[in-house]
Amino acid sequence: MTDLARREPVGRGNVAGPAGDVARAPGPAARRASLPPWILVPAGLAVAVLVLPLAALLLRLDWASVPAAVTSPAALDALGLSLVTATIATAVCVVLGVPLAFVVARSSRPVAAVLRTLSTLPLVLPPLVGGIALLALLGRTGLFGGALEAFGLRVPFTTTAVVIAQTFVALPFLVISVEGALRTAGTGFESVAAGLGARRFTVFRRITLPLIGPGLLAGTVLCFARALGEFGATALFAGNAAGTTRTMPLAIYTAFNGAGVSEDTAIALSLMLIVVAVAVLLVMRGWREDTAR
Amino acid sequence: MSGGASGGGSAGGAVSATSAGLVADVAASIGAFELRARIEVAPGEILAVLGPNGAGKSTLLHAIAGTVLPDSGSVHVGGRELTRRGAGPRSAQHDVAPEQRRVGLLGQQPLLFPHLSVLENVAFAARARGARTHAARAAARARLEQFGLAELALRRPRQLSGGQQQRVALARTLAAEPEVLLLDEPFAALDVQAAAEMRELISGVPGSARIPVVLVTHDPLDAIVLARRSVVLQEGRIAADGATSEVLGHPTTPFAAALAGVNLVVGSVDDEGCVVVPATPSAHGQGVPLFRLRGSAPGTGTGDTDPPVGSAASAVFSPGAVHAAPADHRAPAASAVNRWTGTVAQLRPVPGGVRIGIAELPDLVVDVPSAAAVSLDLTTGARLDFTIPAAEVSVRALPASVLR
Repeated sequence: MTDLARREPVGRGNVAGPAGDVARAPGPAARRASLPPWILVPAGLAVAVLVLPLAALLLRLDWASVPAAVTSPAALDALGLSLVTATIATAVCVVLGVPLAFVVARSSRPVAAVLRTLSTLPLVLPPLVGGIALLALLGRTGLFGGALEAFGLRVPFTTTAVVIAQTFVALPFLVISVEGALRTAGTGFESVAAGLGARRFTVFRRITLPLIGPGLLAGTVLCFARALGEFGATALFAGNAAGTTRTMPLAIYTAFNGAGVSEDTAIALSLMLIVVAVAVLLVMRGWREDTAR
Repeated sequence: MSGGASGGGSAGGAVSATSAGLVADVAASIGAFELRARIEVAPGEILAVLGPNGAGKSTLLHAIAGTVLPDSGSVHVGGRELTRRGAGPRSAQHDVAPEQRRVGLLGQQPLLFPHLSVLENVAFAARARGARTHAARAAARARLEQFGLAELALRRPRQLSGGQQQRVALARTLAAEPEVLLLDEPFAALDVQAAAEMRELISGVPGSARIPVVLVTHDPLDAIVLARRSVVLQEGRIAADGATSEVLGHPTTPFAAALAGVNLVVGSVDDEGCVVVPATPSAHGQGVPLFRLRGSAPGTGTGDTDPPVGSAASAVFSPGAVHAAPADHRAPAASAVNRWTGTVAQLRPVPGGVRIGIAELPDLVVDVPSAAAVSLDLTTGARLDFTIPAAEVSVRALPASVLR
């Protein structure tokens, strides 16, 4: 288990400063920092807390019913809706979040602190509160809801609402990752590139983008995973209508609470989300070291 | 490598704004700090800019590179106006964007693009200007070969040593074919060997590229080896400007003197042709009422060029040229020429001896060889007589500009 924490640094696409890498050669003689033995007890408990529930879920799974459960029209509808809405939400997050990350990273200290706090807010807010807030803004009696209604537009309880809710909760992941990457990369390389005669767009394309690439990818992947798992804000703001707003998490909830439906369907659907999450983490794995700093 | 600066501009040689050289005359204030400096560098000339931290050296370079915009003044390179600012209509203001200046700036850190190979780093400028990939790479390869770096072409920057990185960074800067090269402490982050190799590369630049080079450094050795002409920048002002041998050989400011490792005393000339320095107030009225130095070292003004009586003058001498002896209490301390009595304030080891700081004359240091130090029984608070042969003292009239 301890191997998780001490993976060898992967050199690829490193965004650190120029001097950072030379001194990092891991001496073979370097002894592992010795830990007091008692620390293994809480650490082991932590692992149990993280792993046991998932293990129990898999043990509880009635594998024979899995194929039927995951290929049922309801499940496929939910999965399809989830993938489509999460993809759109992730795209919106990239389009809006990358520029915001640039503004945060290049602002003066106080401005950056305010912007960073604001863009982190949905991360620490309970998603249910986010859902209520979105209703307060776009609901029928909300701040803009009335005006939209006058144009014949109704946002809540539509697929659009699902995308908005997912964007709201997922955007911080992208902004934080990209902003961190930009901050690590600094402006020195860009300044050098400009001095060598490169125009702004060339600097962005050939210097900035490759430097923040790992951070951008990690942010996008996290953003997508968060959008895929979004439940609370979606439930309140978009509702739970099969086909239009019932994403995977809502389908799981519905199956779990559904009268007469066995919990096995919910568990099988959960397995699908776990598979997607593991796939996402595998994609990220190679890039993690570059942005963890 | 061709043999160093070929001296396209003679010491202090005038370069007009329309000439091929660099002319920067800028004023910029950052907070309470104000830079007001003018430098001119001819093509093929290396000008060393010496100065303490915070003197404005980097600000000056960045004003030329366009990464700092001065409040007023102008920057010309090869007759091209890069910046014109100051009072007057807005239409008279003019700033060329950094990417269009053709000014190469290399700092302490090589800042090689970490995601590009050495070859792609050097080819970057050509490709950014629209050259075809193949042509840009061929040119980059040729430049790496010229710098003896060809075998590193396919490596990533992180696989290079600091010295190799800095040499690649110089190749990359020159590959952009700049019309002026600005070097901001390029050796500061290098070890001795790497700095020597880098110095050698830089010494070849004026000969091959025929462009003005400005070298900001805190190491007098860089100036002596690379630059025929040096300026000293202090508190945002040019405190000295001339041949390096003159600027460091007969410094006129305490900073330049410390840089050159010599003692500088400033005073007025008395009727015996001595430089007279009033005793410091901390001397409690005893000890050293007057400090008088007569000089006859080579380079000292002789006869007709002696500074007139009452005028300001400076005397320069090496710390090692001073002879120290236990103080003779019976001898009159005052008015002796090239001789004074002082109290040992600090003792510090230096190669081959001991450096003595003198309480009454805090700006001076005296180096005593180890053997002499033993026989002197040196302790702080000890009283010593110091003498210096006139042949070791160089006396000059001070230019009026130094006495602001």
